[in-house]
Amino acid sequence: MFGLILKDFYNIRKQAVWYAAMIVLFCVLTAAVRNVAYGMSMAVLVSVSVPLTATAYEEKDGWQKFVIASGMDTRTIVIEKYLLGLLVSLVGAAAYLIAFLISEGYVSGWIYFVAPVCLQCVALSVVLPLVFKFGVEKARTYMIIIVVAFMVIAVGLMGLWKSDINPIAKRDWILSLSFSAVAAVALLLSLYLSIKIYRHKEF
Amino acid sequence: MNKAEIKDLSKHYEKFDVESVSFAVPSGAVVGLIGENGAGKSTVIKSMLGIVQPDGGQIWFDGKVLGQMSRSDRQKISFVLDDTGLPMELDLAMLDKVMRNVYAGWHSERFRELIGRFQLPEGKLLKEFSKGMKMKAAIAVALSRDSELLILDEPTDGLDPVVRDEILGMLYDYNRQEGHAVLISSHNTADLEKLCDYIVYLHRGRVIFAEEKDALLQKFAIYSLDDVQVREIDRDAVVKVCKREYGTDVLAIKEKMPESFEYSKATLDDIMLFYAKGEDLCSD
Repeated sequence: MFGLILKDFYNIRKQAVWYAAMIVLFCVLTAAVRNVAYGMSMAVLVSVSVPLTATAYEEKDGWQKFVIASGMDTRTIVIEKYLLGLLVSLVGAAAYLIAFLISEGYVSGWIYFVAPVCLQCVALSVVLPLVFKFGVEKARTYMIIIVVAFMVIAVGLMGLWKSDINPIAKRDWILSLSFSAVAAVALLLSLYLSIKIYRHKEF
Repeated sequence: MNKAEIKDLSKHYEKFDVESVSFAVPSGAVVGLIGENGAGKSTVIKSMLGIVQPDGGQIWFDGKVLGQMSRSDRQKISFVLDDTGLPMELDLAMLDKVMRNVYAGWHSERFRELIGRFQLPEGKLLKEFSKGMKMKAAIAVALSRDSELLILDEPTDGLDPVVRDEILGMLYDYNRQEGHAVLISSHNTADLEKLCDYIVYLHRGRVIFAEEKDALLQKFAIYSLDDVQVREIDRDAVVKVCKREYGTDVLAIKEKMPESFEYSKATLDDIMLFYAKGEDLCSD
């Protein structure tokens, strides 16, 4: 597993600099204009882009054949991509947390932090099975549609959240837990599906 | 004892089938897999490496069924793929670190030694290597881990004679170690004639023959015959015929042909050519 992750980090090392710069830039924007949507959008985008880019390199190089021929278990190969996505999500979440604290987003509720982090996981859960099933080229198109849809949903939810008429606005922790549960279930279901897809894949 | 054995392997694609492929790779032997483009060589090799799932048949390594082998058993099979499969954005030092964490029996010292022997540039990314250097890097990876069987898919394809000779030398050295075996597919039958103990010929997804190389080259011969001679010969002796302007070239089983007929030795290339382009001899 470590070998696979290491290979991915080596492969994407040049792009990683750009991704990091984008995260920082958007988090600074978040803090400056006190609008969490900027940081959140970028975090979601990066968390799915990195595993996608890593898989694109694998497809180009024929690494998927190599690693299967090396006797690597299908589950390990699939889990590695989820782990990569989650690691990137963690970095994005950490940067977003700083921006969130600086912009005093917690005054409105911690759900503004939890929801985007969970959204990263849900986006990852949707995109990775598509990547394993259709390959990066097709999955990239689907990803753009999905990320835009997710951002629209997120912004809409946040608008609803701010509304005074929403009676559950005061129950911050219930929603945070619910979002986390949804993200965890989505990840597990997605992982199960991806393993099934990959097991039948041929290169 | 066979290092690998394939029995009745079949794989069906929309426009191509591999059907009932059976052969063995004996311990201590080099087996050459020959056949024209699209004959099914890569499908057979990919099936052996678990990259494609066969529709039928069985594959054994050291008596163990491929699908039931543990990761450590699978790692005893080393391989070189036609496109190498190595991550091209890495340099050799990075590759060494990655492989150290992929293979349990990885030897960094051996890898560094092979890099030196192959004169591979250490500072460059793999994508900046020439085709020959990429193949050498793939071979260095394959030989730097503990393995007992080496499977190579077109390792010398498109390489110059000097590089090819170096690679064949490495394979020869590998095979001399006790309990090792090599399966190599190649278009370059001249290379295989030098290296192999056994030849498996695949034609349109089927095994035409799987025989000991020396016996095979002894068995067949090429005869240039006129029409009268063609009528005289035993039909069972004839494998394939090619009509020429000057007469008929016949690939035949030497011992069944009249001793008085002149013949030339059949090379693996000749045999492949006759099977691919030749016709059956009509009985009329």
